[in-house]
Amino acid sequence: MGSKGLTLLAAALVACQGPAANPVPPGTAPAGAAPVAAAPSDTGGSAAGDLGATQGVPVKAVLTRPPLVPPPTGRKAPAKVVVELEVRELTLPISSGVEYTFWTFGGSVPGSFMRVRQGDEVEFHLRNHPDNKMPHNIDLHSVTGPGGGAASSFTAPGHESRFSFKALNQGLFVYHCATAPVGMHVGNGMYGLILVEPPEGMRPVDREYYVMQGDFYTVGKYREKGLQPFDMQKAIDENATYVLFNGSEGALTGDNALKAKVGEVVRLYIGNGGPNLVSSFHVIGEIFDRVYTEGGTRYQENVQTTLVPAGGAAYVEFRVEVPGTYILVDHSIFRAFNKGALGMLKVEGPENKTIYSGKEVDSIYLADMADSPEAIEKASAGLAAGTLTKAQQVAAGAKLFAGTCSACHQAEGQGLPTVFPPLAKSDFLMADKDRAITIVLNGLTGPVTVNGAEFNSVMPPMSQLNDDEIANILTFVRNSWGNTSDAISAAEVTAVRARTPRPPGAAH
Amino acid sequence: MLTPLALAFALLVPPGMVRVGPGVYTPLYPSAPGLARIEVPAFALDVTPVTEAQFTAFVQLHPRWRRDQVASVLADARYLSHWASADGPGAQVDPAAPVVHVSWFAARAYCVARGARLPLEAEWEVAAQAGHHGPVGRDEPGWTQAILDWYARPAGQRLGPVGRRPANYWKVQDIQGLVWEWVEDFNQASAAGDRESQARFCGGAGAQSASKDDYVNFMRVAFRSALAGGSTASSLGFRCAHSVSGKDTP
Amino acid sequence: MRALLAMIVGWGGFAFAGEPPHHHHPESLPAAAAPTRGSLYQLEPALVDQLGQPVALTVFKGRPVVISMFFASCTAVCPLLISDIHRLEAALTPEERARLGVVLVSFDGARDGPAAFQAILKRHDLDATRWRLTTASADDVRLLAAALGIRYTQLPDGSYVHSAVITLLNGQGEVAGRTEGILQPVEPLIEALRTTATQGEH
Repeated sequence: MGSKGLTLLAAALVACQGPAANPVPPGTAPAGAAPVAAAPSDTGGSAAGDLGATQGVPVKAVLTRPPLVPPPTGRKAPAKVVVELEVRELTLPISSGVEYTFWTFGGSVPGSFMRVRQGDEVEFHLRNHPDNKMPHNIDLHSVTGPGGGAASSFTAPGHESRFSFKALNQGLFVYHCATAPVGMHVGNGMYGLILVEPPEGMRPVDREYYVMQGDFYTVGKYREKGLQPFDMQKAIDENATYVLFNGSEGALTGDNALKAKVGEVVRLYIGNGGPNLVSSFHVIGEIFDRVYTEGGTRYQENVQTTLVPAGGAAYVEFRVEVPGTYILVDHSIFRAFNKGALGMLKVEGPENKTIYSGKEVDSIYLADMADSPEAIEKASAGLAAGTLTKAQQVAAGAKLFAGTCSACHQAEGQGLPTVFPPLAKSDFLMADKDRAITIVLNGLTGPVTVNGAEFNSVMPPMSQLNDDEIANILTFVRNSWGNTSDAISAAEVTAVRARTPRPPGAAH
Repeated sequence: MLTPLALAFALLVPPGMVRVGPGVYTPLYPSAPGLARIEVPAFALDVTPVTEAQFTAFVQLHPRWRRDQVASVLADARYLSHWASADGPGAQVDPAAPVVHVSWFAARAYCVARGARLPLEAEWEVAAQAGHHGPVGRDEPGWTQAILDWYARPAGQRLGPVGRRPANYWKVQDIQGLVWEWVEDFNQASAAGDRESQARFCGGAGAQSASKDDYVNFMRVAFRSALAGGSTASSLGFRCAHSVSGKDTP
Repeated sequence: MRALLAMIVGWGGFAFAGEPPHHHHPESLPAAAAPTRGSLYQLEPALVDQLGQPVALTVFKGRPVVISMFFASCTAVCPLLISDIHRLEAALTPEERARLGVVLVSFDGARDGPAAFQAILKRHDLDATRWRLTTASADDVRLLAAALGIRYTQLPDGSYVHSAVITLLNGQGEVAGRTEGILQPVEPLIEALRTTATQGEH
């Protein structure tokens, strides 16, 4: 095996065992050792926050749905700002084929983004939609006063509460529902961000986006399909089922990816609603030029990964130098790849080979999130309706294969000589359908002979895939690259799953 | 002294009702240290919530409770708003479903007209905290999660008929998981969701809650504290109670 | 027909009592002036005043009324509540003050009565021609508190913990203004009172 083969082998092995190390763009300066950079003079906190009487007519606050951020207020004097926020309990997809009843501020998870200026007087109207079942209120971390507003605003469905506060401190603050049990309301998505601009406004950048991480706890397993209820015990145990940006697995991927152009400065307002987990926020392929830790006033420079506390926020600024897809992750990395804490920033523009000359990395990192999940959803729908066709299975299986299997078996099923067996025209694969299902579910170690060549490697179990996903993958594989056979049904996979034991550590 | 009538009441529970208790209710946010543990004597409670059909009959007999005649101080603008007309619910509403969109004043008037009353909060809680096998459901596996599952399901769906779910230890049905329910003393002073300044409350209580993990009760406390006498909601109904001592004063 | 049967079965055999009997009022309402749908006078509690006389809630109908709830042995909040109302009166013109009625209903019908009320009237120097301190049945107390948005609980020692709410009614008995808490500014209620005056009463 030549050096090229070894490099490929090394890359493939790492990819099969888990996500590869982040590609470090050659030529980037090492992280600076300087302490706090360019500190402005102390802002004086809340004592200095009363900037005087409000002027002008009351302003109705512009609220935006994530990932958009309202434009700068542009104000030079305090104003009275009216915020009207409605709570809606909505059943929405949390992952492909999985639904969850979210409790939302403004119909989205995270809730609407609010933007005011230090010294503004906010008149807050909280409405609880009459179709809701639960009482709700709101606690804004930007409010100085008992309960952060929560005390004043217990609101029954069909009612509205009002309270007022003055935004004394500048910064980026979380708001959330504080109805007991608070963990359940937060766990159902009741959080968002409010930005209190400094008097001089935020420094201008080219793009601003709103990203908020949250952990979710369902009775069913990760990606177990159907309407999933909230699981209180898992929440107490801090055993998250999903860790997500903006409330669902597809919220910031594929067509929903954030966008920017080469040369632009991007600011991300990053919140963490929790309820439990702290985020190690990182953008693969980027270094944060500035990090305003915890949404505060001073920034650190040249940071790779920043902590965002549960119930906290931060904002980061970075200039994008080369085109490509940058992956937002919680660098507690199993959350990114096994629980959904993954988003995308797509940057377009001319290449700059002196900064980075490497390949795109989407197809390996993103599992089945690289493309839109349409084919997969069609197959799910077909299965549910009893109208699933072999063609639909093959199309869905192709997507799933690309995300999960191609890392080792390669994009055309050709495998890696002496390392990973081929699937293309494979006698071993085609000889025994049930054995193929068993191997996908439970993995395989030890010697096998495929098309006359010997392989002795480790294939990990893939039992975290659902029965219909495995059926679709195998139908695709057994009907591609010179293979032909009948479709494999989800029921057949269910039967094999039931009668074979799982190796230790494998999912159900 | 027990009169024969009182004795009869003491022994007989009216049809459609069951005897609940005696029991003990430990409020999450007691109004005062002396009210941390409330002894609840036995009482009679409706097996199921009051239904749309029953409330329709009441409104027909007492037209001042029609939605086109009711005083706005006694019921808000959404009172019986789910009915097809002021005369009755119409075909889209299951007559055996629990009546909703009724205010406290209306629910109370219904019970009084029937010679009964609304249950006190302590009475209702004693009935509701029971599981299937004993008077405290929180100890039974799955009891709390089942109620949290109900909280998680969206409202606004057509409600099914009462009486279909298994009864609890007291033989009461549908007291958890169908609708929120009015109680007679919903407007008690407590430190609950309104953690207001001392100025609003005469001798107000501390904010220490009795039990940190009674999640289902927390939700109810929050809900009740947000209600006014005229409030109505799409998942708020009621059932009636009766003292078993012969005297029906709350 | 089936629906009707269902209803009858649903009653469990109970017949509904008719409308509750009307209480006798010393001043009956003229037939033409039935309370409006928004009027607090839809409620008809049986009140007994500081002279031990039955009095209707509508005693000051046609005039603006301040209404609240208290109890005589309350040492903390209620004296401040009463002095808040007194402070409101003091800020009015003499003509306005002469028209204002004040009705206070006690939570503590069991222990409060004319003796306690007369002492309060004297202690705070209140105008007994315009102030009515009253008791009511426990039932009526519950109804009135619910209508006024007042929260209260009886404590084991017989006293009460309750919220402090001052409500202003117009001549029709409709709520024109409301303040929660004691030691609150009286301006909003005075403004509300003057607004209702300009809207005209009859």
